[in-house]
Amino acid sequence: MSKVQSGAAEGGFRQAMAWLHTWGGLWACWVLFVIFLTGSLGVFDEPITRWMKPHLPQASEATGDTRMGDGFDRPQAVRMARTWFEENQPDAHFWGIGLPSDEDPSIRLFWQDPQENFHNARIDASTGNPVDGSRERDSEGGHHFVHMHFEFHGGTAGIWFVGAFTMAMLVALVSGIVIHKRIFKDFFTFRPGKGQRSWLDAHNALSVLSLPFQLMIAYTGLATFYALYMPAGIAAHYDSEEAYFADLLAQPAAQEITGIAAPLAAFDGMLLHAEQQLQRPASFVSIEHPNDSSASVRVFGRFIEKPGEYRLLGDGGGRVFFNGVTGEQSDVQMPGELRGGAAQDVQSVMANLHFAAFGGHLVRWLYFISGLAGAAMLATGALLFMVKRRQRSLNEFGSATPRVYRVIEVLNVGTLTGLTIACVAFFWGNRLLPLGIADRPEWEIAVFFAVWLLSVVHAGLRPVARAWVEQLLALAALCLLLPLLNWLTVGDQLFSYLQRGDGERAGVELVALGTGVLSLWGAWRLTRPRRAPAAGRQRAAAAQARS
Amino acid sequence: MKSISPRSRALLSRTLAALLGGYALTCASVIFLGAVLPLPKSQAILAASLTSFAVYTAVIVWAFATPNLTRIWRVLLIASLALTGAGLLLGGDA
Amino acid sequence: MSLTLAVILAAALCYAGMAGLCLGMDRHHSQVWKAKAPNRQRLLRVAGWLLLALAVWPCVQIWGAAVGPVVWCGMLSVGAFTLVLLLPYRPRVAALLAAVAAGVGLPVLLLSAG
Repeated sequence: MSKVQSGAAEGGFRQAMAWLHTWGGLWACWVLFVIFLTGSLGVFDEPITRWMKPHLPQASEATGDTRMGDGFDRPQAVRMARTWFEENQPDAHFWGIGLPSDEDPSIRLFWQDPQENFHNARIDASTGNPVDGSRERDSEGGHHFVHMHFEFHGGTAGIWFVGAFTMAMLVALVSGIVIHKRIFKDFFTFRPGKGQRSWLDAHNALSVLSLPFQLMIAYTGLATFYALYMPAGIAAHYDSEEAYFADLLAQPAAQEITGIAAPLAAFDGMLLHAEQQLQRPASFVSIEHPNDSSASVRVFGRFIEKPGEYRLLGDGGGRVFFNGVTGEQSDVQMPGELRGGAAQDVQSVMANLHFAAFGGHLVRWLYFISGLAGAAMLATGALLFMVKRRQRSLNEFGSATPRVYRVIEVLNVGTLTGLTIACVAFFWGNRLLPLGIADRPEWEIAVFFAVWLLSVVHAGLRPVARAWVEQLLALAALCLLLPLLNWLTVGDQLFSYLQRGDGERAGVELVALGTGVLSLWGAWRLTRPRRAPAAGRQRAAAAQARS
Repeated sequence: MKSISPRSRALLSRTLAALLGGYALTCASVIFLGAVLPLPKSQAILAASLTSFAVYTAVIVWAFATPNLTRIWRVLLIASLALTGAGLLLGGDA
Repeated sequence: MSLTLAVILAAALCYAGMAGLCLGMDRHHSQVWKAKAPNRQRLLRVAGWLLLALAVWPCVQIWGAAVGPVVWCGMLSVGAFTLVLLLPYRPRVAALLAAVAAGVGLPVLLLSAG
């Protein structure tokens, strides 16, 4: 069995790695492209959310203000939230209360029903009544891209799916480094207009010049979910994950539900006590097992961004734990207090490095550019695979080879341009879906997936060369007309954003316009009569005829 | 039904060894390091878990670079069992 | 040092530094100059490393000792990408731009540091 030739692990280390890079990279590249493109967009989830929800205020500059008074009556807000929960969700296992702030002046409610499903709602902070969302644009916003990025909207299974492909990314990066013979000699090399040579140059340059970022982002992504991906150590040495985290972070362990009814202590008392302790406004209150004798309450301090202060560690807002029945404080972690030793510090730094929120706008832009470089690296790799084989089949799959090649071509078009079209279509869905329909955010996501599916079907029905051009033109149209659509539906557009100094919303439209121009250029490159590659083909044909 | 060629079977075996066997060995490394690293146990497990993704990458690369398939399976099996056993014994969980 | 100035300085120094390293190599030196010039190439390489090292300064000034190096890494990539995209199409413009970036960036860096 060990003597059978399969292409893998043959001909020395470098050749074995070349095989692994080609085939491992090929089967992983489409999913990874989705992860990279949506992750890059997810860097700007807040600006995207603001563009999609025109009723939200413009982003304000960080002031580092830790004062309690910001015009919101938080004790009243927790009382209102509790009244709503007691009336509507008394049997829930978990209640969460997002407190009002300048960013969102309503009270956001989250709960987990006895069947373990999560739900949410919003109530008005001044009346305590449910927010009438029929007149405002209810939207999934930029969260959509973040959720596509880490779970494909697929819950825990989705997180595992993304994790598996991130491992493939690490393996592809390592094998890629091994097979790149002249990393330093070819460091700056890009020779355009030379067919396959240019695609390889572009693939190499993109990978090598952003390699630190690609390694970092893949590894820190895995480290963020380490307890999910690598539960073996915790399972072997602890009774439960909760016990492990309680030990690691020196905090009270979660209690099992007892089934003995017990009324909760007053929320406003705990809130005021916590704000006093943390010396800052609270942002969130969570209640485990409400109205059970095991009830516990946690109050989280607001995350406060101080202007000109950038850190990778110790940026938490602090939290205070209470016994939910007696209302007594059981633990307090002050803002910036570190627990869990050097290992936890490393994990926190890794997670912060991944989330790109540590260095202001410039760091977000650097992550956006590097993430797109990663997406482009995957795209050029996928294209290179087919460019290499379009002229001369390598017959890897025997008689099925042409069909497999066709599938790869369709997946290339359906992912590279198809997904990008779907991302822009998501913005169109936000502006075109009627206001006030039930589950509007879910409909936006449905538009995204429907358009993506249509793009894949289109790629499957058309000849490859035509499919590329048509999808690039569709992408260009959707991108370039987006500001116009915004003006027609909401009455706002790029210039009014710029006039008001709303850089976030203007940025969304500028990136769309840039993408539109690039795809137009791509379509033009593909349709103009070509000379050099044709000459290359003739040379190849002549060489074949000679041999 | 068409029978699977020996070539495909060898490739399938290698891929399974790399992905599943590699994951098993990686888990074993976390259990072992969680017990022996000179840190409080929870921190040792965390440190081992953070390292584990590099371990997994290395094992996959090794499994696709070693020609002898039988050897890959043998090493994965013995190392996984030994590390898990040692980790459980030394960690005082067994 | 203001944020904007730091971003521009870091970008300029990273680009110029990358250009120095690049044009010091035989292959790319010949894209701009006809004849080989070992002394000039050595000088370009040394200058390249120096400029890249100096680019750490504005990053650390604004983002601090922890985040600054991360920003610097990102700037290195951006500088290199710009160069790689420009070089094959307009090699002389790429070299001239690097000279301007270094020529203006260095004095500004000295002034803002002093």
